[in-house]
Amino acid sequence: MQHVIVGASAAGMAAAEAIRKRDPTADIIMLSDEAHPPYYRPLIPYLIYQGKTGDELLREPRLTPANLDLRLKARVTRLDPAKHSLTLADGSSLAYDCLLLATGASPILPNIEGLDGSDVFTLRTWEDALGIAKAAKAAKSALVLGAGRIGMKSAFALRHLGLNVTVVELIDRIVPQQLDAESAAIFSEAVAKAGIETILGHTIKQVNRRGKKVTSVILDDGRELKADFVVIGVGVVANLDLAMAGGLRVARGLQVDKHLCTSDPHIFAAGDVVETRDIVSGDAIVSGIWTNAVTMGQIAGDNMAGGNSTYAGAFSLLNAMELGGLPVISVGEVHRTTGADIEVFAERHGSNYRKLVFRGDRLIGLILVGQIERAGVYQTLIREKANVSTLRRELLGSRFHYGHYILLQPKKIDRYVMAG
Amino acid sequence: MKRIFVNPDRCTACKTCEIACAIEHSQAKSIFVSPSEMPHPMNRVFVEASDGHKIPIFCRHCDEAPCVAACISGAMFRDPQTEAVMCDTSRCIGCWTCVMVCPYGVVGRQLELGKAVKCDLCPERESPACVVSCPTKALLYEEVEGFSKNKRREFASAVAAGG
Repeated sequence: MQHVIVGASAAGMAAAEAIRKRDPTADIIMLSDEAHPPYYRPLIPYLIYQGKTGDELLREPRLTPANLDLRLKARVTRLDPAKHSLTLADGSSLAYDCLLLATGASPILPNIEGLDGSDVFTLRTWEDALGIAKAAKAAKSALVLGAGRIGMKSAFALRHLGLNVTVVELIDRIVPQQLDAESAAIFSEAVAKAGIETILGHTIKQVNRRGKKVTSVILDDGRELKADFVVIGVGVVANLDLAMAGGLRVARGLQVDKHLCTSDPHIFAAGDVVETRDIVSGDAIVSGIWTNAVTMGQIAGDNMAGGNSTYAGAFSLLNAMELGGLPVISVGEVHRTTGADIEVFAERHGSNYRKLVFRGDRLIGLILVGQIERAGVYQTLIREKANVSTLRRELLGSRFHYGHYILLQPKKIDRYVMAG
Repeated sequence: MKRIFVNPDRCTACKTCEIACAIEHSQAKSIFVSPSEMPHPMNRVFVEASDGHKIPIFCRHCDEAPCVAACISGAMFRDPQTEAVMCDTSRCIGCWTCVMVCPYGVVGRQLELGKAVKCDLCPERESPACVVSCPTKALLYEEVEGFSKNKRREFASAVAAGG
């Protein structure tokens, strides 16, 4: 049995581990179009200010499955499902019995005058981070478009190097997917304290250059801001080229069934390339979230090796991060504040913030800022669609713990509970 | 493979296990010296109560550990020998993804270090500090394979008889 995995990040690697777990002898070939061995992609902002060495980003030696035939700089150009064959950029072909497309996503480059050319960066790969690091060396000021996670991580990394950093965001708050107005206000203080300027409710309409060099940008209100280079962090789009070349069914992402199998029974998909269902709302989504990608990889890999695992769907929002020394965890439908049976509880004390969104007897959304302890218990209640009507009082308090849940379910407690 | 088992009926919520755990994971390992250490010694077990019932809550070193799967920096890993889930603090970046995914809420944060903190089953000891310290024998450290339903009954009667 020859398994081929296209993509060597969260989903691809989780799938390889899952295949290996079920089948110790199957051939697993993993293709990566990058030059670096598999690494932890979320750590690349550290490369900008050398907060970590390259070695510290690598998955080796611990977390790679045994006997993995890893091929770097291997870009796949064609997929022929009828012949079970891939064509690589060097012209060679590779046969598969079972294929996983974990091709991920690529940063979106908005249509802005003067954007094409040097001194404009996105942050998705190791090489991208090194490019930004190099540009930062000769620069005094940087402009970041987009105040999402990538934008803010870039901004903090560049600020770390002493650059003047301005972040421009179209929506009226920072990290808009993950934060609501109240929590964004808390983080805005931390961002300002770090010396990062934010311009909210605006975008840039033009990038000015002298020769090839970027010199400034023009905002949509006509303001001109000096900048030696620009980092774009406005989101990603699924890498569907290969899936489309193979005639697989795609929409916004690569379409899969509950086993993460595509429209071809020998081809599975996992990670940022997949279009799946939101576990809370049921809406079709393309998730760009690490944790979802890992889960999808585990399930797709298990099924490729003969298992029968089903995927319940992804969280549109499932993010933890620390920004400016302040932690936040956001899960589920945190922005739904109106509608049938919707109840919102929100409470702020200084830089601690708790927001819980309920729909009827279910918890569907959570934001915790500052005090984030035991967030996983809430996350599990959301994921499992648990009836929390008897837990309402405890959930609203900051001391909610797993004991509140398990002690309500005497049937689940054996005389001895295996606990550790 | 040994794991910690809990008999919630015997727990009086005295929190001796919490203290023993924090002391064991300190530098001085002394109840007189450790409390003033920096970084603060932290417990990895949490005794919780609800409606008069008490239960110490531990890391279960899950077979499919969500914290290991979700870790974005390779800090959370399974020890190949003991199969315990461990945190390599040198790789931990304090992103708290593990805190977000742990269904039992037992991954803590060492705030002074910005690192995740969790039960390591006391690798330097024969039996974890919490188990040894428990005055009511609510905690047991046993081979999982041998801890079948029958064994559980034996333990229950042995414990009940003051064994």
